Formats: sequence, C-alpha cells, structure tokens
Amino acid sequence: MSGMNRGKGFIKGISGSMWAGIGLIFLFAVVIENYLGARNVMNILRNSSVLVVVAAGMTMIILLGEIDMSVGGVITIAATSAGLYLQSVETVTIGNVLLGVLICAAVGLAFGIFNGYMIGIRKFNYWLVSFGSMSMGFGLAKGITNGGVLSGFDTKFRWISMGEVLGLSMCIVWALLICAAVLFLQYRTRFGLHLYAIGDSEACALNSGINVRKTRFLAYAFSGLMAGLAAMLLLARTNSAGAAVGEGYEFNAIAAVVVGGTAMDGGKGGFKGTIFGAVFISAMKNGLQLIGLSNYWQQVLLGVVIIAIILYDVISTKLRVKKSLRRVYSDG
Amino acid sequence: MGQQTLLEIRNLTKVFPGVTAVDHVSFDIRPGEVHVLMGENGAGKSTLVKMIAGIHGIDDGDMVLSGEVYRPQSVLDAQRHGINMVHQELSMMPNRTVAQNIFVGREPVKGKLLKQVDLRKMNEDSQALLDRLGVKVNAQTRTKDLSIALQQMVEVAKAISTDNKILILDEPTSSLTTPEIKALFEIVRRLKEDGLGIVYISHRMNEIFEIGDRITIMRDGKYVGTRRVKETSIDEIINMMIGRKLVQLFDRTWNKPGEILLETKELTGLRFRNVNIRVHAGEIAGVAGLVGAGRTEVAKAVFGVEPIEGGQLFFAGKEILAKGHSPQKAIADGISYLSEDRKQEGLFLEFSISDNIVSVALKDLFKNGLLNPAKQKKTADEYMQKLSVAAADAERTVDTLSGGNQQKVSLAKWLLTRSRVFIFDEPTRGIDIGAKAEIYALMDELVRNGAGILMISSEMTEVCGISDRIYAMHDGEISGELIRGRDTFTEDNVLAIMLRSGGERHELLPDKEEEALHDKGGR
Repeated sequence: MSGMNRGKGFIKGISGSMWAGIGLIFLFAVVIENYLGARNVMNILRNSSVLVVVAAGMTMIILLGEIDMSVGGVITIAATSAGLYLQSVETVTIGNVLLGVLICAAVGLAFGIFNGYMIGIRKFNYWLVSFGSMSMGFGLAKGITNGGVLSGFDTKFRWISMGEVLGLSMCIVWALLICAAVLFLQYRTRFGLHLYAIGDSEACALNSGINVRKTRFLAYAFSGLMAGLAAMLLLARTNSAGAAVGEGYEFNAIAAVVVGGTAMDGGKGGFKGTIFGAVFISAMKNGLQLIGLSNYWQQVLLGVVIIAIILYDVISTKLRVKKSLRRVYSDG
Repeated sequence: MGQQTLLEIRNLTKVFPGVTAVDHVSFDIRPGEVHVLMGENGAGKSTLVKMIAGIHGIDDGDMVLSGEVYRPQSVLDAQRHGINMVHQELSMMPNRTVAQNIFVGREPVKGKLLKQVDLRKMNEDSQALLDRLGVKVNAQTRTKDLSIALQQMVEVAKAISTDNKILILDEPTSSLTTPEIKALFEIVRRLKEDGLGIVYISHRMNEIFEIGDRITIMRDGKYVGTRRVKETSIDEIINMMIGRKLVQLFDRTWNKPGEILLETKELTGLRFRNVNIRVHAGEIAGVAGLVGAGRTEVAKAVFGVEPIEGGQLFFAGKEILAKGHSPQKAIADGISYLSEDRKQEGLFLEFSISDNIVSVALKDLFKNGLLNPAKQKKTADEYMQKLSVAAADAERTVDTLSGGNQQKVSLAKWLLTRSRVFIFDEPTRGIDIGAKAEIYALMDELVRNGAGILMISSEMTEVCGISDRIYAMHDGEISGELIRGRDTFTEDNVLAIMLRSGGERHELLPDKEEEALHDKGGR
C-alpha cells in the first residue's frame, strides 16, 4: 500500500511545472536536430552542473521560507580570489590547485557563516543581510580586479571541470557527488528534517525543542559553501573570472528551486525537485540558443516561462486549498 | 491522605509589562490524578502552565519535581524532565507526516558516522504509539489531511511519546465533538492509570466533573483554592472563579424588535450552506456552535470577505448581493464586522489609538480627502472617553494596551461608521470581567438605539445572557433556533440544538408568527 502511495506521490510530484518542462523539452527535441543526442545532452548536463550546486544551498534556504540573495556575489568574489591566486604563481603544481580549491570553498563558507550569524543567530532580516553580502561580493571582486577580467588558468586547475573520468566531464562528476551528499543531508539527517520543520511551522519547531537558530545558521553557512564550490567549477570551466562571473546565479538558482516544486513560503518540496529544475533551466537555455535566439531574448523568454510555470502551480494549489476547505456534504 | 506529590509549585510568579499574570501561586500535582485548572479568561492559567512547561521564564517562586528543584530553562529542558504540554492552538507541521510530527526534534538516528535518521523506526514507533492509544491513524499520513480531532490526538501522542511525568492539556476539547471528546478522555484515563499527573485546563463544567480529580481555581493571577471534584459543586466553583465582585454582568433592556435589518436566505459558501438567519432592529441575535462549525465564515460572508456561492442576502429589505459583494460595499451599506482575532484582523497594532479609531471612517470624516488633525483628535478623544479606554492619550500605540482596551478601540472604530448592523465575533474573548460588562452595556445601548447585532460567541453564559434569539450552527448548517419568550435560554437547551446534526433543515418562522411572538412580549 505504501508502495502504491509512493508511486502516486511521484506522479503527483512531477505534475504541474514539471510536465510543462517535459513538454517544452519534447518540443525542442522535435524542432532541433540532435537536441536529445548524446553530445547535446552532455552539454546540457555540463551547463547545469554549476547551477545545481548553487541551487542545492538555495533549496535549504527556501525550505526555511527565506532567500539567499548573496550567492551570485559570493560566487564572483570566490572565483576572483582563487583566480588572482592562481595567476600569481609561476608554475602551478597540484598543491597550488588544491589551495585554489580551498580558497573558493573558504571564501564561500566565510560569507555563508557571516550570513548565518547575522540572519540565524542575530535574527536580522534575511533580505537586507543577503543583499548586503551580495553587494559586498560583487564590489570586492570589482575592487581587486579593477573591474577587469582574469583569464587563462593552468590546465591542471582547469581539469577540475574539463577533465574526464569514464567518459563523464569532471564538472558532472562533481555535481553528482555533491547531489548525492545533499540528498542524504536533506532527506536522511536530523538537520535536513529540521529545515522542513522550521519552514512548516517555526512555532512548532521551537516548541519541540529544535535549535532553530543553529539550524538556520548552518543552512546559510551551507549555502555559502555551495556557492564557493560552484565558483570553483565555474572558474575551471569558463577559464575566466571577474566582476560579472556570478551575475544572475541567484535568480537562476531561485528559479531552479521553485520550478522544482519547492514552495517559497517554506516547508514543502526539496532538493529532488531542484535537480530537475536546474537541468530543465539549462535545457531550455540550450534549446533557445540552438534556435538562434540571442542572449537577451533568452533572458526574456526564460522569465516568461518561469512565471508561467509558477503561476500554474500557484493557481492549482489555490484550487486544491479551496477544495479542501469546502465541506463535504453527504447529499450534495 | 498522605498521598505523594509529583510536582509542588511554590509562590510561582510571572510579571508582564503592566500586569502580574501569575501572582504567588502555590499548589501541588499528584501522580495519577487529573488536576483541573479553572478560571476566567485572563486569570493566568495559561501563563502558569507555560511556566511549568518551560515556555515562560520564572520571575519568582520555585517548583519541586519528585523531590528535586525543578527550574526549566527551555521547552527541551522541561521535556527532559518529563513535562510536556499540548497547546490550545494546534502546534503542528501540516505538511509533515504524523510520525515526523511526533518525533520532531528528537528523531531516532542510526549509524555512528553518518547519523542518518531512522525513518523506519520513526514510523514503526509512531504507529505502535498511536495503536496503543487507540488512535486510528496511519503514521505516514500527512498531518493536514487529518481532522482537527485526530490532529489533537496526534498532539497528545507526541506529548506522551517520551518518558513522561506530567502532561499539560490546555483546553484540548475546545474544537472537538462529543464522540471525539470521549475518545480523548479514554486516552487520559489510560495515562492516569500509568501514573502520570495530568494538568487539565477547561471551561466546560460537565467535562471537569467527568474527568477531573481535583480542581484548582485562579482569579486575576492569584490562587483561590483547590477542591476535590467529588466534594464540590458548580455553584461553588463559579463563586470561586468570579468572586463577589460580580453584581450584574448582563443588564439588558429588552426592546420590541423593529424591522428586519439583516436576513439571509439559503446562504451557501465554502464552509456553510443553506443558512437562514435574521436580525431585527433592536435585538441581539447570538450564534452558538463549536469552533469550526462555520459561524465566522457566515459572518465574513455577510461582510463580503468570504465567497458566497448561492442564496440571498437582504439588508433592510434590499437584496444586496446582486451587484457583487465586498467589505467596502458592506461598510457603505451599514454593516460592521468586529473580528474574533483583534490582533491579526481587527487592529493596526503599531498604529496609535487615534489612527485606529478613524481608520474605517476616513472617508466620512474627512470629506475633501485631506486629513484634519484637529478633527481627528477631537473624534478620537470623544470615542476614547465614550468607551472609557484606559490609556494616557490617543497617541499611544494599540499594542501597549490590555486586551479589553484593545477591544474597545476596535469597537470605537466601528461605532464611528454609524452602521445599523453590527456583527460581533467573540466580542469578549480574552478580556477581563470589568471590560466585559462595559462591552455588554455598549451592545445594549446600540440595540436600544435601533441597531441590530449578530453576536458569535463560544461562551454559553454570554449567549444565553444577552441574546434575544439564538441560532446554533453545526457542521456548516444552522441546526436550530431559540427565541426569547418562546423558548427558555439555558446552556442545556442551546447545547441540545447545537449538537443536533444535519437532517432537520432549519426554516425561518413566517413573519406573522414572529410578530405574534413579539406582541406577546413575554420578555
């Protein structure tokens, strides 16, 4: 019986926004030659690898009913810091590469800890704090690069994303590893369950003895760390860093989370949906690119599609709520 | 009798800004007893139990639990000591499963390294617990899919899922039906046999005599006395609760009702259907019913907030639904709605008294669309005085006032609109006796001057005391009507029509018969 329920729940879970996504991808597959060919699919997955890592952190924050606006800025400053370091060494060794990775992670984590402390522990408003961090991230990156772009990193570092293991791009391998870890963290640990608990009813979580402050702190710290790891993948993949490298990632990450079915007011959804959302958004961008739409129009269309999907979910949820409110009368 | 003591409470005190909520209260709780806490709203019961449960800090006094000093630092700390509380308002995570709700905050984990949550154990243990309590719920159901009653049972299950010494139940039956209450009592009796001490807050006399062993009564934050249930009577309890200060709470002048001001015909919405009610000028029509019976929904529908799907609504003989309905229209027509939830829906808490008072009547008060501070001040002062709002001046923000004074401010706001029909939803909830009497007097004055009042209330004494007619709602339908002069207004009679479910449709009396009744004037 529970198996049946689960099956039903799964179908239910992918209805709504996801069906729309699947429909759109199907449309691309018909219109574009080789859209679903191995090469293009790999390309889509490579593109989604960075996004899914950022969105992993964002999922946790949105499950709490909040938003971390800082991730784009954090990616930028983390990538720029590591980029500056890598350019400063003459011959890059494995040790330098590891240190570069460490810099990305550490900068991300530092921002995350700052956000977590201000929002989780000190209870400042999450909008203000994460906007402030975003601004600091972008500003610092601009400041230390003088607004310029760094590029041309050693291949040893670029292997992090561009290398291949068993025919898979390293960036996909990273994404898979991180996804596995996050899935475990979110669905199988007390920390993960407590995120849901707080998002669903903070009063109940408090009354049940959950350490709400600490949980929130950890969620933001985690989101920062994820942004740092995303910066590493991005730096190695695009071979460039600078004041604009992380731009728009906060929006795309939120879109991936919401398209994946996590409710903005918290407590509902989860990372499984986000993985789908991230791949879908990358697939869509890729499709629009192949159709020959310029970057600018892609952006417009992406916005339209995301709003349409979210609108559909909002309306269907409203109808469901209305239905559940209605009393069921035996005779009528 | 030399019975052992489980928890001894000594001189417990809690001071909130401006009020001593709990004032040197001492009593004890024994294992295996149901200890009922009684008192009027605002007597300090909830504050007291929240101190025991570790939610409120202790300002003075101490507690001894099983021979050791007990001073909970947090809810978690209280739970570690075996003290759990089921709150009056459900405190659940609606989107999580029953099992997750039961185990939230102390999920079982397996594995030293990864410490993964043992979902299977969680589900199995929850199911076993529910089965043991005789609650027929699948532990993997999402909580929001359960009825309120079942959610309540799950809360009890959650509270007793740890090693427990004391279970606090704060008005657990306020939204339950009779069979559901029976099921809950069955659980309470089992827990009693297990030797738990149960602290039980309730307003329902019959319940207390059915389930209680001892009763402690509080008034104005102070301890009044403790009685054995077997050795006391309702009269004694009421006297202890109210004290001698109560002279005349319900002082009505009974008017001869005038024209029909408000009438609904087969009004149907999401949570109510075929509602036929009538409010005459000069009368108070009370609406009794359990929480969730659809009373507030009907009131909000009449006021234009809740959607109406069918039926007709007449105001002073005119059908007013035809061209759409909204609160703006209702107010323009002359209908006021005093919300049951004054903090969320009734007041702008961080605005001043003066701003709140003029907030609805802005358009009428300032015809040219420009605020006139002098006029606003004059109006606010006038109404503050009229309703004797106890505050230094009209510029105080409303959140600094006591419940009673807040309620007066929200009343003032509606009086200023010169409405003819006032819908009062739980007008005296959570306010002290003195303010209650003032609000009753004001309601009396309103109907004496020709207004009609529709009053939703869960307090039986209030419904019976000041209504000209009483409608009872059950499960979204009007289940009966009592008319003063024709029927006797007693708690039992109201309960009888209140719990009469469905089946018999309530029809309004033909106008002539009603008139005949009024002419008899047996009031």
